[in-house]
Amino acid sequence: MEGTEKEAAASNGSTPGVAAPAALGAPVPADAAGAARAAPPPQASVLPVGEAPAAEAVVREAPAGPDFASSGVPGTSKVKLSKKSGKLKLNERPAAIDLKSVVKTFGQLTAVNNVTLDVPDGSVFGLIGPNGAGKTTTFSMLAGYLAPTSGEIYILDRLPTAVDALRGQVGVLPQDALLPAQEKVGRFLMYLAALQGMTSGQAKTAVEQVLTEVEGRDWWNIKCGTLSHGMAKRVGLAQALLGEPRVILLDEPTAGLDPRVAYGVRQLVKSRKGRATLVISSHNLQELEEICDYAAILDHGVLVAHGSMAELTASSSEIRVELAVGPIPEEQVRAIQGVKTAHFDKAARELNITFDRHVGDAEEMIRRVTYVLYQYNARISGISKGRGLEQRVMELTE
Amino acid sequence: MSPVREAGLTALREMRRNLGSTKGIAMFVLFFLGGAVPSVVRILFMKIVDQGTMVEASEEMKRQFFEQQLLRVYDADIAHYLSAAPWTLFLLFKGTLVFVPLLILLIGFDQIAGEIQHRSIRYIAGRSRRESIVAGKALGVWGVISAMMLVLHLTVWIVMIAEGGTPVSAVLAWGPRFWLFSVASAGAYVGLTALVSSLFRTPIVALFVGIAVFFAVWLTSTILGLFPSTKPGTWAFPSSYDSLLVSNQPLHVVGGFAALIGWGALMVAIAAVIVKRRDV
Repeated sequence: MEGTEKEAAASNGSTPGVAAPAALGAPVPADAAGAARAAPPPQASVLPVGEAPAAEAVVREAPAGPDFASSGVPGTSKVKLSKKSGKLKLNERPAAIDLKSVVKTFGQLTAVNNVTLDVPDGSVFGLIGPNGAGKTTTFSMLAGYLAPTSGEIYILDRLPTAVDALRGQVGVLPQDALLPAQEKVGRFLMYLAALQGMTSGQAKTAVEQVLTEVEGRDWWNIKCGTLSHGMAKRVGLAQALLGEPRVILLDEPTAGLDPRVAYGVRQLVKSRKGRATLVISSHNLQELEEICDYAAILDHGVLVAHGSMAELTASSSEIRVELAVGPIPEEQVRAIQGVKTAHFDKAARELNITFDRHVGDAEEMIRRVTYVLYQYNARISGISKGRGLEQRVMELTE
Repeated sequence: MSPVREAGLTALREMRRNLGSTKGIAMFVLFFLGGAVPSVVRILFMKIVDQGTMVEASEEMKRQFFEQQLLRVYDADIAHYLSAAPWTLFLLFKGTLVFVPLLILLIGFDQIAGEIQHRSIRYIAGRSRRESIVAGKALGVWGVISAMMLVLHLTVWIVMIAEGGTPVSAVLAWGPRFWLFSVASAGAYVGLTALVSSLFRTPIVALFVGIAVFFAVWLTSTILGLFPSTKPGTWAFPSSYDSLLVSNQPLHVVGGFAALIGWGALMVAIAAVIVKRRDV
């Protein structure tokens, strides 16, 4: 599956970091070679196949030159914000959405506590967290449904409530808003399009187009109240995508959908990548890991981590090697240049290795580590980059 | 886009939704029957007169009798002016003023509360100013109730013309006038309904509170009107301005229109502020 952090140990020997250096035709790195002894001939074909082709994992590489500051949690990081010409920037990309010290309280309950983050323009951004983490509250503040108790929120440099300035530029799929039961789908969407400033002709074209996108071309004359859950969700999505908005906010876009429809929705969201900034609030971590470039993890209303998906999953600074019963050359792996820590978890039979990503990228480190393991006759069952979003979220949230 | 256009789009949508909904159709039938009942009563009454069971009075005697009755409520000038109107139409107007506030409440109690309860307002809150949403919804309800009242009045006008007892010119001169007066009066109650609806998330609560509020408005206004010292207080309530509408002074009529619509607009403005400030 695309985007999963589990990295393959390629059965065809073509995956870097898994096949022996000789097989790759590459020179053995001096640091690794120095630690290695005589090695048996390469037998890459006996190594298990991982879950994802290596080429897909490259997609998850951290963007070049991000300005990250350690959050104190291994493998995670917080984005350092820099102020430039009055705009917050991340990775030299302008921020489409800025939240500054946002707090939302409901009576005694603090639902969102001092959240500061930005969403780079053109990115797909995930809002992650368990129930009660403050995801939907944050989302609702972004959409302008809820007013923050304190702090500032800007969408495209405007307040979310600046409806006239943001007209047609922000599309929102609210999680639990019912469609008007008595109204027909076409009429409803035409009304929304008219409110976005479209003429009747433009609105008709846009509505037909967006209904086609959600595979609902024939729903024009169906009353919203008679739609199934999946159909209603897609109509909701259609109204969010209406008129090519620059920012699209989606709250649980695939919740309650059957796998086929959910897949369709994911493809639809992916098709908007690069055309708009997307913020997706979801419980479905696999889905977010698959779709998102960046994410924020909330817990009890507090932002516990945020950054690129590669950073959050530590896929650019951590690898894990699953080892079968046999030699565990922990010390030798630790001696490899660039390796910061190497620790063998006996229960999971995993060798967890963190490394300095400035010395080498994950693929390079996999190559070095597997070479050493190979030299010491360690039996590799599997290799993965990072920890996977699900595991990271489990570590960071209560 | 101007707030006026936003409100206009919402008003048209609300009218289309209301008129096309089961509730809207039921209300139309109710209003049609509301027009049919006085028409039937009038026909039966005229038949009794025709059968000689009642002494037929001259037109002038009828007018004088009608004027005497009007003098119980209005001053001499207004009573004389109104006595020229067909009494059926006048009674229809007065009946409309009594029942229409309740019907407005039945149509509009969920206009905002319902949207907030089901969060449907979230689909439009990002596309339209909340003030425009509230104003548009109120205008929509006003449009619907005006159309329904037209059905009610039109039914009576048609019956009166068909029955032939009243000059067509009198029906056409007074009928639309009374309908317009009813529309102006409805404006105030549409505003009050919007305000009540904006205060609650649960429509049924808005309905019951609305009934209580409307009753309290009527009761307070009536009690204040009983005593000369408290009578000026009645000007805080819309029912007091109804009497201006039927004045023989054009300026009073215009003032009555302005006061009723202004009163309704004030209520809508308060509702708009509430909806703007609240979380949806």
